[in-house]
Amino acid sequence: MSDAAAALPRLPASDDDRVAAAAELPRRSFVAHHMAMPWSIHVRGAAARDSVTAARAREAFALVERLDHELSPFRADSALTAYRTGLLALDEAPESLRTVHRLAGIAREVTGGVFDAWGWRDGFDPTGLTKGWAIAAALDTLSDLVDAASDVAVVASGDLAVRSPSGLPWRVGIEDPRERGRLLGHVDVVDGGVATSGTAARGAHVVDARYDRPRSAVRVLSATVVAADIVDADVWATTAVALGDDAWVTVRRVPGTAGLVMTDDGLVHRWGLEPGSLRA
Amino acid sequence: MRYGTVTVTITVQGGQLTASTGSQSANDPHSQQIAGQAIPVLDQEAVSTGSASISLVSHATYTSEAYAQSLQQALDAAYQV
Repeated sequence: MSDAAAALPRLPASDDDRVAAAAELPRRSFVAHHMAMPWSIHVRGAAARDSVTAARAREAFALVERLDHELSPFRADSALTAYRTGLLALDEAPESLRTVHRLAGIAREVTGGVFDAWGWRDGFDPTGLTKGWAIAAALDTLSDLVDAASDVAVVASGDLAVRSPSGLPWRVGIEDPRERGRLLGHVDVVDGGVATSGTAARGAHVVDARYDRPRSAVRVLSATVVAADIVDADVWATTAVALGDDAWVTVRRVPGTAGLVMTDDGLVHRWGLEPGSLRA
Repeated sequence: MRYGTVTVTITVQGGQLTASTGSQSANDPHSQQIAGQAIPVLDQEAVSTGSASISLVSHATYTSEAYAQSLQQALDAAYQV
């Protein structure tokens, strides 16, 4: 090997080699239940062995708990409930509510009205993107671990975001919607978000807001979307399910996404980015 | 164009790949390499904890009871101190 080649970052050549190299890093996970779902934080690298990392994870979970308290549509004392019932004006609301309100407006616009937080009988409900945004916010609180060259991941019931200063990927399994515990495949993500939406787990709960019902004859069993931003991934995965059999055709055209859609006619559709597109 | 797109449609019946159309074959290693890390790769086998180097799992939201038996729960527990 020449001196010039030796000076380059030595990332292993193949995907499998990079995943194997990542598996050599020390790793630690932290688990908590918030927003009525399991959350986990994963740290890879030197910080996994650092005693202060547990405190950082607790802070991240505390943030999620606070966001749930502010944004839950189920809590009588949440800021969202106060806003929905007219007791709280948006400009007096906590920053979290103002932010998800703004993001919901963007989501409605970019999805052509399919993702519509205002399309619910009981008023504004941003829940479709609250989880994704809370994942991003939790990841942000761990940025000093990233600055110290450790990799971090935040997972909330099947949606996740990762940041990897090591340059090594997280191999993310994509679960078969027909059989829990079986994976359809995987996608390797260095920096970005992965969200999956489906009809299998909790019934047909995702509808196209323009039609108030799942529209097409072919049902999307699940849609997984990869994007640089977990909020985008979350919104487009939800939209893909709502769109029915149009889903992968529409969503795959969204710049900066990769994904996998399984429909109930036995088809698996997937699309991807060119290498490196997800890196900032 | 900043974002290239590779599209694939395959047919899976009973967990087996039975047909493939589109610009990339699911079994074409050259295409897999071009697509690199950013296209989902299909696995034709059941994966359990400790195999296939899976780090995290993406799935539709399910209940806490379902989580207790999930692959993600096993991965979370494996690295909890």
